[in-house]
Parts: sequence; C-alpha cells; structure tokens
Amino acid sequence: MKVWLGVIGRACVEFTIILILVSFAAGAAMSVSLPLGGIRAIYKSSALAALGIAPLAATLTLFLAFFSFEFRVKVV
Amino acid sequence: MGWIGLFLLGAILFSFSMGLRRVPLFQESLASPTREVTDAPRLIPTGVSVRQGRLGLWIGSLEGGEVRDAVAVDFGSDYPRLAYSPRAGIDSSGNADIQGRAYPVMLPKAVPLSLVPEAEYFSGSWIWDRLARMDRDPILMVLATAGGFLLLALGFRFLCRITHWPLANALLAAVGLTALLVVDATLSGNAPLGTIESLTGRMGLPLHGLLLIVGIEGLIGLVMTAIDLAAAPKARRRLGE
Repeated sequence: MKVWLGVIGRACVEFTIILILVSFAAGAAMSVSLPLGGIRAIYKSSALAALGIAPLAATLTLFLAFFSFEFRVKVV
Repeated sequence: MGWIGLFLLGAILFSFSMGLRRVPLFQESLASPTREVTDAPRLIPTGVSVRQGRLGLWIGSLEGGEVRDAVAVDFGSDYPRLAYSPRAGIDSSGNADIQGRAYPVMLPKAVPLSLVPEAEYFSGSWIWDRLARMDRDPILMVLATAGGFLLLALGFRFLCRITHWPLANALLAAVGLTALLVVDATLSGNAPLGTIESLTGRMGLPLHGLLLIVGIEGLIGLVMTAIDLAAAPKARRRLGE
C-alpha cells in the first residue's frame, strides 16, 4: 500500500513536470502571433495553454504510470 | 489492485485539470480573447501588381477609404488597355471605379481545399479541445466525458508488458497513446457519431451525443481491461522467467 501511494505521488510529480514542459512549448508557439512579444507574453500564453492542455499531460502521465505500476508495485 | 490505483490516479489528474478551469481567477483569463481572427475581406496588397482572373490590378496606396493611383488592365478583352485613376472610392461590394468601370480590389475569400473528401469522416476534435469547450456545461457531464476517456485509456495497459523487451513495450505504448487519441477524436466526429446514433436508435437505446461517446469509450475500455486482467498473470509469469 505504501509503494502504491508512492507511485501515485511520483506520477503527480511527473504530471507537473510534463504539464510545465508541454505548456511552455505551446505558450512559446502561441506568443509568436501576439502583438506584444517578450517573456511576459510567453508566461501568459503558457498559463493559458496549461489550462487547455492539462488533459493531454494527464494522459501522458497515465501511460507512464502503467510502467510504474507494473514494475514498482508487485501486485498480481 | 493496480487497475484501481491507475483509475484513482487518472481521476485525480483529470479532476484537477477540469477543476483548474473552473477557478474564477482562471475563468476571467479564459474569457478574455488573446487574439482576434477576422473574416472581413482584405484589400489587395499595395505597390504590387495582382492578377485576379483575367484582370491585372495595381494600387499605390489606401487613404481614407479610397485607393490612390489605381491601375487596371483587362487581359480578357480584344484590345487590353491600361485604365488609370488617381483616386477611386470602394463601394460596398469591394469594387473600385477606375475610368468608369468597376474593378474588384478586394482579395477573394479563400476556398477551403479538400484533398481527400473522405477525410471528413475524421473530423472529430481532440479530447482536450472537447473538454475546453465544456466550461459552461454541468460538471457531471464534464466528469463523465473525462471518465469515458479514462476507461478507454486504461484499456491500453496491456502494452506495457506485451513483449519480452522493455524498450519495445515503451515504443508500443507510445504508438498506443497516439492510437488512443486518434480513436477518441474519430469517435467524436459527426459522421461516425451519426452512424452509431442511428444504430443505437434502431436498437432502442436512449443514448445520444456526448453520452453515447462516453458509453462506447467506457465499454471498449472495460472490455479491453477485462481481457488484460485475464491474460496478465500469464504474461507476468512469462516476463518473470
């Protein structure tokens, strides 16, 4: 049970990392078309992109968690 | 037990993703448009000769709703001649009067190119776009949509142990992830949904639209999970040898 919860905790950290990376990439791409450039535009676009792209990050995390549950949690 | 853990994890992540969009602070940001896409007709570029059908047009500049130094040639006529007007007003239909004749000075609307008309069958939207459009919908409908997708995703768990080689399993899982997203998007398209709706209508099932997609995805996911759970002990023994 302890390992089981640990895997879920690790997956939540993975979700955060994936969400930040994916939303920064999407935010940088979105900010290109905005009239005002600069790093603040990228931050704002990334925050907006993160809200929309979170389900994709959740799905990616879930697929990574398949492996975590298979090889770290020894439950048949 | 592992399946329950994965379901719990997915429920936490999807609920967090959906709940974030309903925080009042973020809702204000989502409501403000970041860019404006206009469909209004645009003037042909100035200082460049433009060919529109059999007409050749050149405009010096646009000032106060009038074009300056407008030049036009009708190459379709028997004796093409240059027509020039130092200034010409643009009427409501986008034509400018150059030496007594109306010439179109607006760019024609782009006709959407359809290389493969059959591809309309795949006109569905990605899961994150569908969920983003449901900000004003009841939270139960949003959770049901996310739940159906989650059950379908959990049905792909077998990919992490399908072969003897961990790297091959990782690659297959990546392919499975792509397939999952494509299957989900395809199911949400108008054509497949209409076909399935007509089938379920004949069978007397009351499901339609969004709930039908959720039901199908959940059913496929649960069947795949049941097969996986039945085959998992054997596969794990094989991998453990």
